[in-house]
Amino acid sequence: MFVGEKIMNNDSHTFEITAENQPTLLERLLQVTRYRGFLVIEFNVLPCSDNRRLDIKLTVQDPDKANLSGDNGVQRLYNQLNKLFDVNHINIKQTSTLQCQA
Amino acid sequence: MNIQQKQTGACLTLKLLEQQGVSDIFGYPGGAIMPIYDAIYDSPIKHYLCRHEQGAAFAAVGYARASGRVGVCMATSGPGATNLLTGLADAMIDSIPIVAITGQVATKAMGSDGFQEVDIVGLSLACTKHCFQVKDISQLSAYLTKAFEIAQSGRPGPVLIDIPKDIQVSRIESSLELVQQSSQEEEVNMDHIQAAANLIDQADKPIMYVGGGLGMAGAVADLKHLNSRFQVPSVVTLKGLGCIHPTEPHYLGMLGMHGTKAANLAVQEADLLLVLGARFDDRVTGKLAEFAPNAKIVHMDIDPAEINKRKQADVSVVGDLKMTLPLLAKRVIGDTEKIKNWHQRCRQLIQQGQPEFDHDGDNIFAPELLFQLSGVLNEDAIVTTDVGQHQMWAAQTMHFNHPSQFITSSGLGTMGFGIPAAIGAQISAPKTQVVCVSGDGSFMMNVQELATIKRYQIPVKILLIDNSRLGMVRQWQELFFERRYSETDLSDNPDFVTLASAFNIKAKTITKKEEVSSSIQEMLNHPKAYLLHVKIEAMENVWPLVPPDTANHLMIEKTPLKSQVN
Repeated sequence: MFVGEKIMNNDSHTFEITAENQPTLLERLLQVTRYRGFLVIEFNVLPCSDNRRLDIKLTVQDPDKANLSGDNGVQRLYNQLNKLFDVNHINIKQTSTLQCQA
Repeated sequence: MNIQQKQTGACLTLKLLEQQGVSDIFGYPGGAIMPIYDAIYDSPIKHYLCRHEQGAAFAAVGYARASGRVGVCMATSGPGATNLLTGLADAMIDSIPIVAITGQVATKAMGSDGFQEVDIVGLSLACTKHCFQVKDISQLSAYLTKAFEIAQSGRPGPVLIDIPKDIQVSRIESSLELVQQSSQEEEVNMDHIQAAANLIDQADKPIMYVGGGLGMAGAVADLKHLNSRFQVPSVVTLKGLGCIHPTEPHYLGMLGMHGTKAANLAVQEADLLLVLGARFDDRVTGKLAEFAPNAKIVHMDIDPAEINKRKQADVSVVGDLKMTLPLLAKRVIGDTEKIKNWHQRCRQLIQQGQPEFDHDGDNIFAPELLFQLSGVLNEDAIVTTDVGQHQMWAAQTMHFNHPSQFITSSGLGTMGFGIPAAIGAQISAPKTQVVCVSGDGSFMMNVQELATIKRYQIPVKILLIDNSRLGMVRQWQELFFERRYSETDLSDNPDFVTLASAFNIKAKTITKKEEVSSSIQEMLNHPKAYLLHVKIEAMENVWPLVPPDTANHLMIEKTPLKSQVN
């Protein structure tokens, strides 16, 4: 199966996250995203000016909305990411429908 | 106040634990944690040597659940650390505050696949609320203090702190600062409280669905207060048992897969669910789309991630129930007359589901046995269980005055939980009667902890219900797998009485109903540990049962045991 087939007609969501630059942070973000049923499309990490924190852009898609009962899957992922101890701030930057990439 | 002294990381660890009020630790030593065990040698903190790290983790869970304090367990690197993981996962899903301390190979050896090296921080990501790895001794104090704070704050959970061996032996001019817990005053959305109160007052058929979060919040008395003003009929989850006393007039019992018929039917008929510290677990809801189909939902929980996770709430109140429930109680008008017919309907459901234990024959019927046991336990007795049929029978038939009296692996459903959890509970409450209800499958999963009972002369009582089967799996094979009993026959179990005697634990086997009463008394009156081995019929099932992916009102009933409700 082409990756593009999975992406086609699915919404993508981008989270902007500011978080403490701790060794487990990135793994935790990815683990929570995977466990809650989302695929990572884009993951950008840059140090903040204070070098203590990271600015992260995480774009995900829900490949199987049926498993997440309803349209609030992204909100649920937001809630789970927001709980992480090292996450200082998070918001959902955008929601868009990706075009067919196959 | 600062205490300036140069000390090793190991000594500092123990001092920091003392500072957190830790008096008891459960663990097992090994190479990479030897400096900490050396420091334990001189510490006033009592260490309990369990005989497997999983036992240590469950003992910490039992300790935490019985006492409300943070449970602490420790293990060496590698296999010692991985053996803790099941306990951490159990604590994670049941929201239990524990701190796990693991030794690690020295920082210079990390990443080299050294002897007994495992990436425990990586492995624990999915089953801890947070984890730390100390890379420099200057981090130790802050990380350990933070670990306790995180474990207890908000929705509690397990925290792991991994300490490499060289950190344990390096010295620091430590500044042991007195702990200042950061207290965050929560802001409660009063508009949401008012909206919740309005929905409750508008409802004709309200019902409270109470989960483990209520007890964790210490809000049992607050619920009782609300109930004294306005008696909303109530149901509880497995972890909510004890939040409402079974003698409360409109209490319908446990809901869900093995819940009472009264509880499940009432929830299906309700027009409002007041959800208190519960999370719509699949074992509770049955087929989610058909769960409480006519009910509006008011969901109150400390964890915002639980709101709308499985079921959309009409009104949500995020916050500590200890704070939010009294606020709600003040806003609810509570017109009892308005729900008079609903009260009557609930009473009718309760009466239709009176427990009956008219089991034919001389053999022992486990639900009746547990009902009898419940009737003779002390008011403050603590019961732990393992997982399986015996667990459900205990939940259905036993009565508890407080949720901390029923310690069972709810979310993870971990066999092998009961004995070490009972050890932890007994150590936290030495004068309290502690009984572990176990099954023959579960018992063997952490049977090595009988050695811990022997070593510390822990007077726990073990009621071992033996059907020579993995009973719950066998039941499902009977009902849903065409009676193809694959790998569930345990008829070659060891002689449990002989096994117990090897650990100097007095034990006895009973097989007949007539032996039950006197044997329970003998067990409870025995001043030391005691194992009462109870043989029951192999093919007995737990009823009622909601089949998988089925609405709760379509439960199957096939037994005289119909309800737990008085």
